[in-house]
Amino acid sequence: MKVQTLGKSAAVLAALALAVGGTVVSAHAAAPAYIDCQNFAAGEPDHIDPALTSTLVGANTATMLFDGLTDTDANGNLYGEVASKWTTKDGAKTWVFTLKKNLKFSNGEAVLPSSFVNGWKRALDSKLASEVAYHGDFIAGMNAYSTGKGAFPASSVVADDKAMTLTVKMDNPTADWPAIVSHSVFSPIPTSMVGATEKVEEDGTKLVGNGPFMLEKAITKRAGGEVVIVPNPNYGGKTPLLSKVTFKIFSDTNAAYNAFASGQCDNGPIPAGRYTELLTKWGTKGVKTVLGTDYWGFNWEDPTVGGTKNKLLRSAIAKAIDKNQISEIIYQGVRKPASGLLPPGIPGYKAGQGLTQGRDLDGAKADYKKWLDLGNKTPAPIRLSYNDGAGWDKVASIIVANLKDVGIPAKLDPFAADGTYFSKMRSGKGQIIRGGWFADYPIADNFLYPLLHSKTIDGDNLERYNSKAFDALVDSARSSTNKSFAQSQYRRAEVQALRNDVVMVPTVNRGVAVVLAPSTSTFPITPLGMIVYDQIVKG
Amino acid sequence: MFTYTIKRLLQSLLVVWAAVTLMFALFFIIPGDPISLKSGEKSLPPEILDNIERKYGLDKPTYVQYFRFWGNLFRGDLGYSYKNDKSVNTILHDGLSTSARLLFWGALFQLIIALAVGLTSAIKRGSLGDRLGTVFSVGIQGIPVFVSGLLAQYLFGVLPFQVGWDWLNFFKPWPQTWTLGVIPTDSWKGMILPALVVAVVDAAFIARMLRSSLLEVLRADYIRTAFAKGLSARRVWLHHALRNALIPVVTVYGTSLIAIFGVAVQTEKVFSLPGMGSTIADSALSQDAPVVLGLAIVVIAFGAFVNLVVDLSYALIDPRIKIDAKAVH
Repeated sequence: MKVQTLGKSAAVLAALALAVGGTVVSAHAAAPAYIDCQNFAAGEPDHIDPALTSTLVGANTATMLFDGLTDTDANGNLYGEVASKWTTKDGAKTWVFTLKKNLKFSNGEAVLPSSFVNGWKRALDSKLASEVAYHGDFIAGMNAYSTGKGAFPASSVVADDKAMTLTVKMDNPTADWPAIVSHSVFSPIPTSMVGATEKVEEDGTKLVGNGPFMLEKAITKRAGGEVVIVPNPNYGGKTPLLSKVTFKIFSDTNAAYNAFASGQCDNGPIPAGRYTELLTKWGTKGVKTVLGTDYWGFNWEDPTVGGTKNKLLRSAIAKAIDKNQISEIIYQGVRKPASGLLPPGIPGYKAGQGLTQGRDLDGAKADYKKWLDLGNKTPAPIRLSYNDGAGWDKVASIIVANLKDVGIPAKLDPFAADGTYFSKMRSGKGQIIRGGWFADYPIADNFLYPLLHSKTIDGDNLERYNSKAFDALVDSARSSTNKSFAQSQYRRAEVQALRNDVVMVPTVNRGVAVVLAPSTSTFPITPLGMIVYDQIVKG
Repeated sequence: MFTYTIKRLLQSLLVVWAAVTLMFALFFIIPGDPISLKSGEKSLPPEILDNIERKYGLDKPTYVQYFRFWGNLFRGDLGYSYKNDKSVNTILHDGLSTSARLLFWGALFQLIIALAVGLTSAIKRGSLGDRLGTVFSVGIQGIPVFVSGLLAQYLFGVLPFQVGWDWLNFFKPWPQTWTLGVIPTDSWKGMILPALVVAVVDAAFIARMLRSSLLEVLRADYIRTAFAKGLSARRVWLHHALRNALIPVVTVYGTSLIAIFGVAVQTEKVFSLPGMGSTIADSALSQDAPVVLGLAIVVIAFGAFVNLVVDLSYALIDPRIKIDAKAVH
């Protein structure tokens, strides 16, 4: 009898529930779960804490948990995420962001301008020792704070929670600040995370964000573990179309693909050398060119290939390299031949900025002959330096064969994959140097300044390129608030380095390629290589 | 036997100390920079590098780091991973159970396969079964785990799923819940393939060892006598022949249990199991010294323990063998 009574009551309650909010209930119940086997296919991410992660895969998860002031959409457009608008005064030295109202963290706390101050105070603190803290150096006085030499520059980051504004004072005019601030290191945090250490991400209940998802299960194990995110019930934006996303951690790409192909996951990575086969089998919805470029640079200080006197030799080498061959043979078309250092999608991008778009064998032979005619002798085999173990030997081998066609002797110069390659290149040990760059934020300066400006010699300017003309063009672009003028200056700087000085040869633009189960109908990827999990449509 | 055991335990401690000291030294001698490995293609400003080095105590002289390591170890703190700041104690805690379960099932499958193949080959000497057993033994040993693991995933995972025979799909996630510590209560299929891959490599060798050992014992006079007394073949095989043939096999099996750890490292990596093996491999590649040293202590201690158990087990299998404390010397 009691059971029957309860049954009737339950039926009445269920009917009431359906009558009141039936549509909502059924819509949530219908939202599918998604299992991702590609994001962490090469191992556990370094971090998923936005203040600490320095890898694309870690940042991808972090951006699902935290919304910053701005972000880039799948079409490459910058938009306000928490910020509704932003303005600058005194020539891009001060930026004022107005925040949207009524946004909340997943714990229900309001997202305020002071939440950003708290987040930046934590992320840029020298004690947290974040690898990405240097992005804060654009802000006046922040370098001293992030290096432990000074207090947090409170006068440079001013929150007005009543007016919902955040005012940021820059060290120098920074026209691109709205794009730079989209980096995950500038995420807001709730008061519960103030002063939190790096351990916070190990407990799913403590890493509290304001993004479309919240953490349900943190990283508890390395390979074989998983990270689980579920929709944030307090999210102010569009609710994700998935009820849950599970990121499985693999330590082997082949195993991750096999897990996908045996029905364990909704997507998977593509093991090296199988792009054509697997993209033919599973389709190309998961393929996208992203904001990254691979290149081979010339050591500007090397007596054989460096300096203005050897421009013809560099030009011969640049023309000899068969970018199409590298794209097709090594990357099976997923990485497209690059015609410049800036990749398509960067604001101000222009195709054909480099010396060549494909291969110009006759031009290469002519330039090499001219260089020899100037009294130069056939050089000893020129070294192509690269870090071993990442497949660069195959690219280098193609280039060595390309140069042989011109008569230029070259040889492979592998460096152990022990983290010392880049420091050796920085100190001028290379001749032709393998390099690559992936955008931190979608601006031209993020490529040209760190890779080629004389102030970054000993840093990411592996070629030790030192050109006053180039520096002047970049410096004028950086300090300008006129967007079109700045972009034009960046384009001129790119031409100066790639055509006038031939200091590097961009080979391919980077791409991401993921195989998708047929049930995944929409799979947006931003130009920064971030998968927009809250917009994935399954079924 | 008690004195012998104590002496062997002390010896094991010495081995652990020497091995860890050697590995600690190697991390400083071999070229490489774990912090640079973390940053990948992009250079970090020197001030940021200083922050990171201070955080991990890498700014201190080597000998200070060495004594600090042992000091922390005596307090039960193995340090923190350079890669993701995770406590090595947590990594060990998380990984140990998975590795132990994989080793348990691998060792069990290994024993079953080795006994089945070895006995069949010896009893049916020269038969088709014997020849197939020999081919299996030789063939399987030549296949690296990276190949056999991926092949197993394809044959018993990808292929059945794609032709709609999911009942034959054994490539499933590693079980999450266990009863009595070692019996999976969900997704038991996920345990089978990795354990078999671990098992087959040395099972083949042990099977061949058992076969030759059995064949030698079977030629002994006491076996002929046992048959002449009218004992059943089953009794002669199991009680007289097998027991005597097991002495060399146990030695090999003990060694194999240590070697199986190496196989498990690769198997865990190929199957991406959350065990210590895959962690050791990943950490070694990224020069994550605290993790490698912490895990090495466990592996070395495990090896010393297995050796001790094997030595003690001789006396149990063959009462003629006496453990002598002086034998330590």
